[in-house]
Amino acid sequence: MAAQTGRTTFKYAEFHVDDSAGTLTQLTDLMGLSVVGLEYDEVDVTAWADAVKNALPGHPDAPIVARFRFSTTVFSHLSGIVGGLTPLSLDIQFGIRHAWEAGEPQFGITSTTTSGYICTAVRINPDDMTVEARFVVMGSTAPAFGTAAET
Amino acid sequence: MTTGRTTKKYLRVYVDEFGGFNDDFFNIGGLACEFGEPMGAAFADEIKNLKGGPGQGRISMGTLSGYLHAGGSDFHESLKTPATERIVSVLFGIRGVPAQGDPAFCGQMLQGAYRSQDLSDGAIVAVDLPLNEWAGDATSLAICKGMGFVLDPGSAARTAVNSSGGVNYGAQTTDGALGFLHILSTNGTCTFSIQDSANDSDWATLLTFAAGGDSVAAEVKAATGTVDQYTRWQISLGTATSVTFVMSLVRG
Repeated sequence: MAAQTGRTTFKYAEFHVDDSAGTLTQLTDLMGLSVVGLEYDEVDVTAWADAVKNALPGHPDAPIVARFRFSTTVFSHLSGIVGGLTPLSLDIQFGIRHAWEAGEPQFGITSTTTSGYICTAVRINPDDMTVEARFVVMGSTAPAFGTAAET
Repeated sequence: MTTGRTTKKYLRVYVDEFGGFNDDFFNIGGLACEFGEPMGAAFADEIKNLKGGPGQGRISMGTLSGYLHAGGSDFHESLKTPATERIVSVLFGIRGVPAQGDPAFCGQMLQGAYRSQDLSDGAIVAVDLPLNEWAGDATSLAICKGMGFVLDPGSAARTAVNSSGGVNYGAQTTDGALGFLHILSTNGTCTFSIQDSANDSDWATLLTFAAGGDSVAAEVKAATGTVDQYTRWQISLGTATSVTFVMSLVRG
């Protein structure tokens, strides 16, 4: 099926992140995602003589928190990357009323030796058997929205 | 081992040498491995980032809760002393009691309190044991991970050396490991160790615990350097003919 246009629902969102061997892998136990995208500091540059407060964009930030059902797959994958120093490729794909394919929206970054995401926290909640993982950008290159899969 | 998802009822928690308290434990708070995020952004950087890498890590197990159970060897008597370092292993059985290869979360934690929960009419009296911080006098302060795998779930007494296959991690790792041992019962001396292998058939000793098996005990033992892809429990019986223990490995 060709890339579709229009609206969609969360059930077609996919979360892919490198494992400890650098293989970009979908974690299918996904059950929640934080906001996804670049959020810029709004630096106030208002002078006295200005009639209106005004701002310029500063550096953006793009942390991502993903929630998963606890599973052996998620546990093994995250245990291998949490606290690691190797930048990870990360790809969040928004399929449009079907499984994502090229041409549909995605957000992420293809890692290099110096840029990508790293996993800075894993929190297991035994009460509801969920796992939360936090990812933060490492390196000077920003992730971005696009329509082509990361690698 | 079984793969896939599971529920809370298949968790088993072992604290020090005590293995019989899962009839009373009913909750354990968030199990977390978290790193500081010393963010920076140079003029030319496109985005705030952790170019310097993550900061110091923190392992937390939250609060372990159990129904108050008094008696000679029950957990009230065994765990009522706070401000004590505890060796804790949480085993995640996958839709069944824990088995070799199942996930585990292990730590050498400071028990910060032993306190009753707020009482209300009709409630069972329960107590909380906060396990929020890694113990300052722990065996190792060099590995921050917590997430490991079960080598022996303690479900059966061991009476002979292990000649079976091990737990497959998928690849070797190079940042050392921590072995966690809870000797639950023994009738003599015994040497406990963890072996690793590159091919699941040729085994070498990765680490040997100091606990001699002549009494119930718990121990954390560190290994440095490379840990091969496969790992398994091993024993060398001395005067003991039967030992029951829980063993897990957390790779660095």
